Amino acid sequence: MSEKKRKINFFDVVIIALVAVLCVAVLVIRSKSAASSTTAAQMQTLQYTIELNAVPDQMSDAIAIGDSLTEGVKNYNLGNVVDVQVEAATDQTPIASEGRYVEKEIPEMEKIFLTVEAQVTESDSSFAIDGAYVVRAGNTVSVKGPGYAWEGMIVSVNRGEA
Amino acid sequence: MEQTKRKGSILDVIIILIVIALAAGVYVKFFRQEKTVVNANTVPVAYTIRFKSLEPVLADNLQVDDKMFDASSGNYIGTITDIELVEAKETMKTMDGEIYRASLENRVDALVTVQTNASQNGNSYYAEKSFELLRNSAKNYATKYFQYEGKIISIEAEGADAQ
Repeated sequence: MSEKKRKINFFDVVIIALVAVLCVAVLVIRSKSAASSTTAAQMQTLQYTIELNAVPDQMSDAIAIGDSLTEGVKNYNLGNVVDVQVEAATDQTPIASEGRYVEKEIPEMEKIFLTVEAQVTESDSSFAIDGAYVVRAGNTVSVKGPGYAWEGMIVSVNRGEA
Repeated sequence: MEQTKRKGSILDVIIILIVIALAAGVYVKFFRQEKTVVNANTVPVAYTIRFKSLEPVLADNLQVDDKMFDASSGNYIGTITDIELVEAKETMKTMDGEIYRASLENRVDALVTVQTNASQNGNSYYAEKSFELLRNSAKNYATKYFQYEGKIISIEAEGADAQ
């Protein structure tokens, strides 16, 4: 059986050149993207407050300053508790005779405000924990601490600390 | 041993075309994306979003001059120029057949006016050429500090009647 010796022809050179150009272009794009994300990814400390409403009234006893909180779904590190405020839990109740809703206390329940300090990365549009979990007032959050868990809402993001 | 000179085959041509197509794809993806707009001409448009039944502490996170984003895409859609807090109300039906617009204690509606440059296509406006402004459509809006569902209640283009 005779073997054919394969030589590089013009088309092979063109293909190699095109693939090389493509690879260089992808590398340039990726390096530019990495450079810009490095600039944006400066870590900083952010304070924000989570409201846990209608919590059984023993729960605040389980929360301590310094507790490390994680997000209950994907385990993002939400930060550490730096302050705890407790009020009576409330809910809107209709008063039909007056045609209005009033905020009434819920017996044996409490409302807890957890001020949390976290390491975040800042961009033009958000603060993000672990580069992915966006901290904005109005977002609901599943909170898990040492020995307790509850769902709450971020009610404030501190502009001064960022 | 006999050597044959290799000529370009149909396979070579196909490979070259695929590589060119890939290169074109990379170019379009990374360099031409911003140029796919609805309409190059833009007009200043002010639109107002109503965020309903906020606790006052939550409404305090809104500030004039904050940039507004579409929370779904992350696209910039204008800058807040005015914030008005008004009494929050819900419809209440009573047992005796009356219907009230009942006020909620310790809740406010935030009326947030956003200024943007919008392209126009017929009666539709697209904030920053990408986000269609739709009255009464519930969407998630975000600033750097705040995110909530709201509805656009008015759209006013400069030099045009209120929509």
